[in-house]
Amino acid sequence: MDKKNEDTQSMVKQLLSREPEEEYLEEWRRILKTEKRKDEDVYQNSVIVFRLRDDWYALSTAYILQIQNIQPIHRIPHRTNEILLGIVNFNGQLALAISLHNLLKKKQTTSSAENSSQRLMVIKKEQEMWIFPVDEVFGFHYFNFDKIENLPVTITESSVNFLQGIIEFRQTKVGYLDAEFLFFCLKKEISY
Amino acid sequence: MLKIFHSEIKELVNLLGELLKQEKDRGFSDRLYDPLSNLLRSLYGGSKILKLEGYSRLLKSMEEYFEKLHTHTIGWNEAGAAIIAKIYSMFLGVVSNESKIPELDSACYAMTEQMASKSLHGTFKAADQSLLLDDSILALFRTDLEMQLSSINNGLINLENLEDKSEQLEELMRAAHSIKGAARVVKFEPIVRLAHAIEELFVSVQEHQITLLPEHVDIIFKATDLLTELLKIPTNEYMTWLQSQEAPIQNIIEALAKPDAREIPKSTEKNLSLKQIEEEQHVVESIPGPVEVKKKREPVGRHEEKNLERVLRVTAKRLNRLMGLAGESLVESRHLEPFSNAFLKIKKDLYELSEVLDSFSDLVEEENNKEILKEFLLKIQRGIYDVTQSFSGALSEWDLFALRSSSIADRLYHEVIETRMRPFADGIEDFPRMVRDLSRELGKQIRLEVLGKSTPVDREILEKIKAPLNHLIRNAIDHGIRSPSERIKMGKNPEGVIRLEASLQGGSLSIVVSDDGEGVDISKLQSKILEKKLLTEDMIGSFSEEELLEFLFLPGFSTASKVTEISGRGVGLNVVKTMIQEISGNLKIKTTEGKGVSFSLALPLTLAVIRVLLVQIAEEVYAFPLGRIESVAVTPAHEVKMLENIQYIKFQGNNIGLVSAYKVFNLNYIGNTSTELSIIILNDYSQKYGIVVDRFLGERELVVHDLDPRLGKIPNISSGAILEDGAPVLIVEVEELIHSIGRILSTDGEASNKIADILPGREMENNKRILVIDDSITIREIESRLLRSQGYDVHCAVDGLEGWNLLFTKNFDLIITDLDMPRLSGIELIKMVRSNDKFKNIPIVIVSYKEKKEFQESGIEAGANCVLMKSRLQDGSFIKTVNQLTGAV
Repeated sequence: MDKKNEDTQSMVKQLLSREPEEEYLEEWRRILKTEKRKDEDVYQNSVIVFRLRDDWYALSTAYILQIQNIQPIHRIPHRTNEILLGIVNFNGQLALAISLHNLLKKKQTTSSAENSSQRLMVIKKEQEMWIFPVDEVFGFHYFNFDKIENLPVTITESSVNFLQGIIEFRQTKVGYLDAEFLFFCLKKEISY
Repeated sequence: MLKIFHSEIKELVNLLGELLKQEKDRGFSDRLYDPLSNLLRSLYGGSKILKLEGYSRLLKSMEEYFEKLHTHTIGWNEAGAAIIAKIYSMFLGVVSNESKIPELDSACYAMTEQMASKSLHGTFKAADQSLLLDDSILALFRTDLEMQLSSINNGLINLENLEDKSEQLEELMRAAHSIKGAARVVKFEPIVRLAHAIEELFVSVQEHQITLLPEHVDIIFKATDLLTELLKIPTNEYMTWLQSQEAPIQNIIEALAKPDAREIPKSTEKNLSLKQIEEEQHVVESIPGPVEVKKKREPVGRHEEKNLERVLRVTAKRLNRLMGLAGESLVESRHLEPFSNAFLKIKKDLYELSEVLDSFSDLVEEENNKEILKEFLLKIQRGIYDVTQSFSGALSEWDLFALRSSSIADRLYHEVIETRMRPFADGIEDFPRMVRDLSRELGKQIRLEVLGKSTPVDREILEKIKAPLNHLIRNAIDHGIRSPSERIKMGKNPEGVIRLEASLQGGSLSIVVSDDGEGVDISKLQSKILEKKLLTEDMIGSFSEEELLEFLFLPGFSTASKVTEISGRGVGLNVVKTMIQEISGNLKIKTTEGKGVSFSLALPLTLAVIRVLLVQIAEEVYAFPLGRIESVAVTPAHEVKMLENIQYIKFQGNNIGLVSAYKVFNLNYIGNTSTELSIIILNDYSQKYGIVVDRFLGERELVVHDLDPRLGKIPNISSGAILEDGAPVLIVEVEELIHSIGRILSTDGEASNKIADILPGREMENNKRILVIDDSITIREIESRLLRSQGYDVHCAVDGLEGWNLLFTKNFDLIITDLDMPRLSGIELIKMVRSNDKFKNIPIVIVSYKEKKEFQESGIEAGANCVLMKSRLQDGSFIKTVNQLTGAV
């Protein structure tokens, strides 16, 4: 075994022990120099951000069934109040429409002027479904739980009960709604 | 260690002994399960430590076996008992001598083998299968059982009326056989035996060993009734049910096999003539036995009538969603139309634009040197022409698309509505059986004829008419049709016929129940009406036959001389009528004396869709079911009259009290500028009421949607619906509404406020509120009319006390009061008002008969602003005074 084999061996040796090109080394230096990136791309939570009058809120997408264009809401005699607005057409079925704004603020306000950015948000948890008008929907927002800020202690508004915390979305403070509590309160408000 | 093991073995032996003793005939009970399984588990542990592999295996398999017994996946049977007995005696041997324990290990091995494979083979196989015996299998079994039972029930009824019985018998055998097979799969041993016994009986009849007697049929019915019970209980209770029914099932099986039932002499049986029997004999020759019969069997003759379409079960919820979507697609397709219109408009605009350009080019023509401009214009014109052309093409295509889409949506919608339909035959399966049983019980010969079996009926209606129909048929059997001997005397066929006929007539479903019995004796009915003092002697003559028959529907009215178990209590027809009305149906009765009675039911085709009148109230749409509206009227507002705080109109000679829809639905009044009132007139047997709405929008067909149960029962509202444009609408519950209106009209004081609302405009002219207190209705009427004509909001009270109470409900601008009144006089009232901080500044006017000065002075003294004489009410000074004091003028 022979010369040929030896030749090959030396050739391989030569190939492997050759000096790396400077450009290649530089690239690796650069890569190793930069800090290890955090796993920012994998978000833990997603919400839909919407506006009620002047306040911005976020609700976990897990509870959002549909967002549809504004539809006429029919009041219900002896039932309609500041929280329960009436019935509304949802995919050909009648569903209950509520005023989230009035529920959060615990006070009655007149409905805001109609505008083209108004939408109906349909939320659902198990068999419970509610529909409420919002003044504007901004879209999805993804964030990590560690990005949730605590509520400032100074907030005394009753809506504070409904918030899990504050998150930032496009330089605006957004109230992150506690969905479980929201469903709980709605159920309590509307039962006859 | 061995010692512990030994003592536990002893305990096991005791338990097993008890098991064998007690459970011999009662099956495995749960009482022993817990100690047994605990003990076995601990023994298993011990055997592992002692390395007694045979024991381990045996104990393990015993534990598994008991577990299966406990969960009812297998049943306690003789094979199991035998094995347990063997194990028992085996262990009994070591009880006295613990040193023998290790020796038995190999024997235990062998025993395990036996448990797993040999004696218990069947049981374990069952156990394996039982893993598959989940609820879905049981549900299948239930469905199967339901079908087969109904075919046995129907088959037996047919059998008694058929000349050629062999074919029907085959079907019956097959049904019994199917039950047997199904029961075997799910291991319901008693049912297997029962079905087998029924099948055997049919086989014997087919082979002509016996003649099927009505007594046999009764027993089979008993069996099917028993099995029908199984359909009513939840599947997880089947096992316990079966255990509890063991004895009755055994009784039936014995009754079915009883030789004496077979030996009932044929001569005593009237239903079967000798000739028929001979015919059967003839048939029997060609059919050797049931097994081959089954092979030969082809669907023949009568059965081809049956609808062979496959039936699927769909949950109501899914169907509702489907209907919702279908409705929505219809709504959506209607949205295409406005698009079309918009396109049309664009097309028109383009056309106009090109015309403008045309005239513009004419102008350009005049100046000669603008050749270039002209060319430019030409280009534009050509461009517009092209656009218009292509737009026209697109538009017509769009039109076609819109048309197609709405036609598809329309078809989809109707198809989905159709899924609610079931053939009429599905709802009346129990009736032939009932007619047979009842007529046998009463010694009558009655046949039930059903026509229009395939008529499609809304499944909800089908369910709801079962009870009323049942009632009518029972009536016919009990009262309508006489005994065979009586019928023969009257020259009729001894066999009576009850006919049940369903058909679609126009837009409604018609069901007629008729009999060829005696009919209603009109003179007897008349005397009954007189006896009950419902009419007087001279009145009754003027009532037509048709009107008299209506009395049958009154509660507590029965012409039957005696109350039987079947009918005659007098509640019947009233209940039937009420039930029919509940589903917006109507019931009519016709009779020919001596020839029979017929009840005609007119029912809506479906409860899913109702015809309504759409009206507008407070800018929202409400729907009134057309069936319950008496009529509608549009009346000028000035024709509304007022009496005792109740507004009314004269309509077709009746005074009709009016109530505002705002009041009924508790809505805030928003102005209505119309000078005419839109009134829906509703009828509550004796009383007529009018409800004033803002506007009539027209008739419509609506698909009824239930409202969210979280809302509870909403007063005066029954359900909801969605309009063509997708807007929600509420459907009014008229029955309840009538009661609400009655209530509102009878409590005048409160109502007066809202009553004013229905007169448009007036309240807005002058929002001053006046309280009128007088114990004379005439004075109250005159005063309040005078004041209302001035636009005042007038509230009335009948005495000082009521007036005092009313003061607290609202803010009044003026009080007008009499002096002499019961309970609280005018003077006392004035004193109270003046001493109350809240009311002391309200001006008070006294209107009195008393012209003497001292009365006037005492009034002023008490605090009244002014005293007027009643005689001067009409001369203008009254209004003048009021206007001054309220500052209205």
